[in-house]
Amino acid sequence: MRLERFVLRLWAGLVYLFLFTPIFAVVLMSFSTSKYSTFPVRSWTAKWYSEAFGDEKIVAALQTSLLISIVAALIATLVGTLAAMGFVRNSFRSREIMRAFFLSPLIIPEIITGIALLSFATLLSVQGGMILVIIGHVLIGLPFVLTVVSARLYGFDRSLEEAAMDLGADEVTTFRKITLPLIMPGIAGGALLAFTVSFDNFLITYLLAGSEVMTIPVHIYSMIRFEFTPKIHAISTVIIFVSVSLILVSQLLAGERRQT
Amino acid sequence: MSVGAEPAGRTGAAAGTASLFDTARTSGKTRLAVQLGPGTAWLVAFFAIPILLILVYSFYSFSDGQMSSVLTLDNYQRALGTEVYRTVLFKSLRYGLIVTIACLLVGYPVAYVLARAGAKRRHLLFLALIIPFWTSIVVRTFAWKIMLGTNGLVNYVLRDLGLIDLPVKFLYTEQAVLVGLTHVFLPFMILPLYAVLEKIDPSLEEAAMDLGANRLRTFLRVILPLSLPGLSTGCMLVFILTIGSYLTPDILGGPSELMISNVIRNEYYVTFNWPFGGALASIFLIITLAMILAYNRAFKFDRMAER
Repeated sequence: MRLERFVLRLWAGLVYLFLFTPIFAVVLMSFSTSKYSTFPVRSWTAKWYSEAFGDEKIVAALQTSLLISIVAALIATLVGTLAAMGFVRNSFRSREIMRAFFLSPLIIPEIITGIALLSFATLLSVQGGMILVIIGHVLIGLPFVLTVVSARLYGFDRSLEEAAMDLGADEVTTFRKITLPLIMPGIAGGALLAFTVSFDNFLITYLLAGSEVMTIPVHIYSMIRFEFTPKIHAISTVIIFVSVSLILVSQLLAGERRQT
Repeated sequence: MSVGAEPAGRTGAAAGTASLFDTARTSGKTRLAVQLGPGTAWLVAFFAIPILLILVYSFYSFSDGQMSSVLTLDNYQRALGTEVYRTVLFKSLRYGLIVTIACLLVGYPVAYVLARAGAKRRHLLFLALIIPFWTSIVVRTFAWKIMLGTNGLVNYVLRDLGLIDLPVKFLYTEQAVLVGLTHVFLPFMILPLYAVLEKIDPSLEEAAMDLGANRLRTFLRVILPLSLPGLSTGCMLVFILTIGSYLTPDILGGPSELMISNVIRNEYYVTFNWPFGGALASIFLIITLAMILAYNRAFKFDRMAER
């Protein structure tokens, strides 16, 4: 009994090591003076960070990524929140099928989503570019907003809305003053997930961006493939930090329900 | 179900007080259209129709670098009849199977430990699990390039331990791709498994053991059957994500390690043969949808068995 527990825990420890070591390796490399990804680290420096943030292309890619992710997350949040209300608050015959349809961009391979939008845009004589990338990112952000906001709506005490209505508030006022504030943590959590999905996306962006638009994951990819520089380690570390902080915040928002 | 049954009393109250709409029924329909309309429109216009377009183009012909609307089955014949493409397809499926099994064997014990840990530690371990889950796939794949390179961490540790004299070539091999894929998709296995294992009452295990079952039997007869929904979700996710991966074979594998996504991309962006690329994509899409349907049936079957 004891031994089994020990073996199980040891295994779990090794798996966590397997999951985290590569990520730590990137962070370590970002502080190494070596120009290549060479172990062991002989001496330490922070110069790759200043070089990365002094690199016009990297800064431009970061700005593009931010812009795309913010717009995509806003649209996904608006559309996804509305849809969540539709699915949770109504029952209709095709509800389950519709829900599956809304969630399907998660499971359909990204290569298909990418070339499908490419074919569609070409048919309409639209060039690849930022708008196309945003359209694709909204597709994959929607399921996350839908899931998180739905969870919030299911744990929602509807008698609060009834009370407001009984006291004479109309539907719009009730939504603004009662419903919205109560589901806000869900909306914010969903928005953060949609932002992160968009910010980290590689394949759809790579397929749809054309030559003009360069996001940070695509730029990191082209640096890995074509022009290796130790700045990759630094900017990767920054990306890890950004995603992880956003996810921790969205977790806090999701967990907030239990405390209130 | 609760959602459908519950508003009956409420609608009456709302109809009495809400001055905005006259009849509850029309207002309900308008509201539903406002709520689901934008999302449905987005998905139909930018997802469903574009995917149908791939299917349509897959029957077009292609000659002298031009696509024409003369309908043909040649693309499918070539996709399924040519050795190269069959190999790529089978390799993608084989990788999917290997990575799914690897994730299951590696991940199941972890999900179990997680589910049985005390509340505080469980929360911490869970957070630690979603960090790699949400780390950019480009960064994680690049991380394995650092790990497995000639001067990488793995070679360094092995040499330091005296296990090898000269660096081993790990990169650009099938093994490198498989390890990278397992790393990238492992959380997709652990998270759904954890979700079901957490709900299994530990007293069930104790009861089985009190009644004389040993650990193995308890696992096989109690825990494993109860965890099947999470297990099937995890397996389906990992399998579908793996066969669709693009980045990992591209970065960690050599030119011979291309998977189906890489080949489809090349047809669209290098040779510009959209009909043939479309046929490959359609075959891939059908395989994916078949997997999802099979999963759905198995899962419903599973629920029926519970009753």
